[in-house]
Amino acid sequence: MGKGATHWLVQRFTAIAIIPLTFWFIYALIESVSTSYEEMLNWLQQPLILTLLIAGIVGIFWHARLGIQVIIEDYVHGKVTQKLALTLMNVVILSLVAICLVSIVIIVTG
Amino acid sequence: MVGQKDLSRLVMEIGSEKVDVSTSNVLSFICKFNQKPVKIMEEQPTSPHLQIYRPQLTSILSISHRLAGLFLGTSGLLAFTFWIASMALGPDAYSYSVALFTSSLMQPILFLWTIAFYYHFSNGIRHLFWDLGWGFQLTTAYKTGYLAITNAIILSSLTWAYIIFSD
Repeated sequence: MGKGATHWLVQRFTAIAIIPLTFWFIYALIESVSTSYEEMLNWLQQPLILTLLIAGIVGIFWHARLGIQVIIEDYVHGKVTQKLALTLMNVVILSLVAICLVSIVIIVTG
Repeated sequence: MVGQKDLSRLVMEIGSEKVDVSTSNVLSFICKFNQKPVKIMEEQPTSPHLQIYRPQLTSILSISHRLAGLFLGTSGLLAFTFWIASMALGPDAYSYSVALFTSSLMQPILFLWTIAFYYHFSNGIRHLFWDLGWGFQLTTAYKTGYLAITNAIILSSLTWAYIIFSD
């Protein structure tokens, strides 16, 4: 399968996969306001919650990356500028994912 | 009329001009013209130029889908990362970020995130149906467009009603 077709399929697969996860995220974020720090840590330590959270982060950031890539390809013209914009976007997204995952590791182990 | 065997050497009279319409000449003519489209296709097709494209409900919904996605994918994900990193940094950092997100200054941004998400979600469902080949008829496209807007407003209202009344 070509690069374009894979991009198209993954964009749709992640879209469907993150629908329930994003709704769950919104609910969890609202509830977190009235939850103490200790309770939040305990909540995050549960294997099911942890799995869903990591799956959500990977799926949502991946979906965002593919979406922003298409916007850059459509609206940033010029071979060099476009390549630079795409590289910068990939670096930023990957850094944010890394920060999220390292944070989770610290929360769970610490 | 000419028989099939004559096709290789065929001359037609168009007006006063004699044109060679033999198979090989026609093929080379087509190939000459085909070179240009092939060259164009090497470049990415360009999107409609928004400055000169007459706005219609469908085009506005389409660009809004991208804008909402871009808004969520940049500011939204940055804020989420900030929130989860603050939790890893300890109770003080976490209470600071909770205070920040619950401050009155942040409420309009939180509201924009909810409406952007519910719109991107509703219109995304519309896109998934299009991918299955359903809903391309103009009247259907308009109906589902209005449905996406309505759905986004309803879900945002329900979420904010829950936020306000669950306190």
